[in-house]
Amino acid sequence: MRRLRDFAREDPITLAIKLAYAHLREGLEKAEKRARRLGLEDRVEDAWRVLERIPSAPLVGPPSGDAELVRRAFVYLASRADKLIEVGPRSEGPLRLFAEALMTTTFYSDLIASMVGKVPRGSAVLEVQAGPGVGSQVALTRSGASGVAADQDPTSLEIIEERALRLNLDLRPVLASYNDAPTYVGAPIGVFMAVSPTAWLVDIASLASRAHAALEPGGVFVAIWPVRHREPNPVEPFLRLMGIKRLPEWDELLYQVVHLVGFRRVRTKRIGPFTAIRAQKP
Amino acid sequence: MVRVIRVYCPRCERDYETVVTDDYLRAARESATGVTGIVDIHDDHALIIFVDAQGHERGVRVYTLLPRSIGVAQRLSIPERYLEDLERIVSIVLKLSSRGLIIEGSKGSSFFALKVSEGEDELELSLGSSGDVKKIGEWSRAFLLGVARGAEMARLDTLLLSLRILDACLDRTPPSYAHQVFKLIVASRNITIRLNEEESELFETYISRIADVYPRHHLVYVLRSSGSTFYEAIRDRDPLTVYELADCALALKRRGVIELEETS
Repeated sequence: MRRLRDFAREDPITLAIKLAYAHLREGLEKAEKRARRLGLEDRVEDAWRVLERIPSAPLVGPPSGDAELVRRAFVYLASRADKLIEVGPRSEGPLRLFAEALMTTTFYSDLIASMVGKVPRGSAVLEVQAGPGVGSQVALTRSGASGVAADQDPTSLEIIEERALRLNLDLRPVLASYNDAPTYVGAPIGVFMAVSPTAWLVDIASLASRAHAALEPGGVFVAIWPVRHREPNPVEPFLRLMGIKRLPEWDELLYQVVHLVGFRRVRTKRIGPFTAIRAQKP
Repeated sequence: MVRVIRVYCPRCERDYETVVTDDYLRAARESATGVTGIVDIHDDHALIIFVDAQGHERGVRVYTLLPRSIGVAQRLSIPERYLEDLERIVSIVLKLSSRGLIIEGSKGSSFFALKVSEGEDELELSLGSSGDVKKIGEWSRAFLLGVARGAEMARLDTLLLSLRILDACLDRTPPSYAHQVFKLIVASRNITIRLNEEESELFETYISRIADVYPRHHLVYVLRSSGSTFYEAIRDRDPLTVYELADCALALKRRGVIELEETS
């Protein structure tokens, strides 16, 4: 049994997500009927199971700033639980809006910027599973480099194009999976990133492997993921609803990225339930 | 030869005077039907006055939506007064096969002309000054595609509004989805803005954080226009503002924040 002082140690982002759990319970109840009709009951059951393993947040005052936006983003996701069960590998439906909301928080965009760092001159940035393209926006605005943002959802590509045109970014949206996306980049790839929540729908180890093959020597792979650190991640019940059976375990992820794939100089940073990883190709 | 004819609009229940110029007589001569329809827009409807090659009136009809002609294409002439606001475009010939229509209008001599086609639809545009031909071609194609796709709900006044927007945008870089803007505008009298409560609640929480991408006041204006037709939201605005509002409305639709509901 956790005590109040344990929660006091929790960061505001984690608390904000847990404040959305009451809404998630309502959402799951609403989603059950629809899930039965679609034969997707296991997703809802899975979400319940994980949710019950995560201690709820105590009653705290309303969060502010980034934490409040995070809370509202997760409350929204919970309210769309019945739609989330149908989300596929495309960045579609409620996930698109949620991704933009989360990525416009200062902590999240700063995390992207600090992990991407400088883009080598003449190299391009590739964002895969790009969703609303906020990751590309952050990377290109600060570096002035050119880039490609790939997604499998045509509507997300239109949102990316809006961003690129209005901010005068040298960014090209392409309809492609993370596997095919590198073939659309006309320059050596200096940064391969998967930082949008829409990327959580695919397997990070496969993504890292594809990044390693596509990057130029010295290029970096950047990902932001709700990684498990021995216990369930607070984001996990939402992801179970989308059919994500298992989140990467931290130790396992490092082993895969560093030893199996072959990246070196790995740098990580953790904010609440989100873990950013930056790994360089030798 | 210029002559003035007096016609009665059954919708407005009053008489109007229409000037018949040589251009209309030529259009009637070139028309397979032997007549051309002179467009006279009266707020929510258009009076079409049919004249023959001798300048005689051959009947009038009131249309709310774009007319549809089956068999021989119907020729419609847009009077010069509706083209006066255009800065770059001096003449247009628009062939819409789905409606059996050829819509044309001219207000002077051109510097250069171009023609684009999509399937059986065609657009011939003459401009009074030069410009980036690639951009002009892409915008023209987007206009043609948007008008053709929205033709079922298009009206003559919204078609002319779209033309003003095309004229104002020719020097900009066109997005690949520019046709959606024109489709929305030509159909704007039959499109109602509907807010999705949960999505708009979240969106309004972070709207100020994307102010560098989208003008906040335009986004808020579209959100506040929920329940109105899109035409009511853009009425009496300058062409570039109409374009911005349409672009913002589409941006909100892509995020699921609003629906652009088609009404008959």
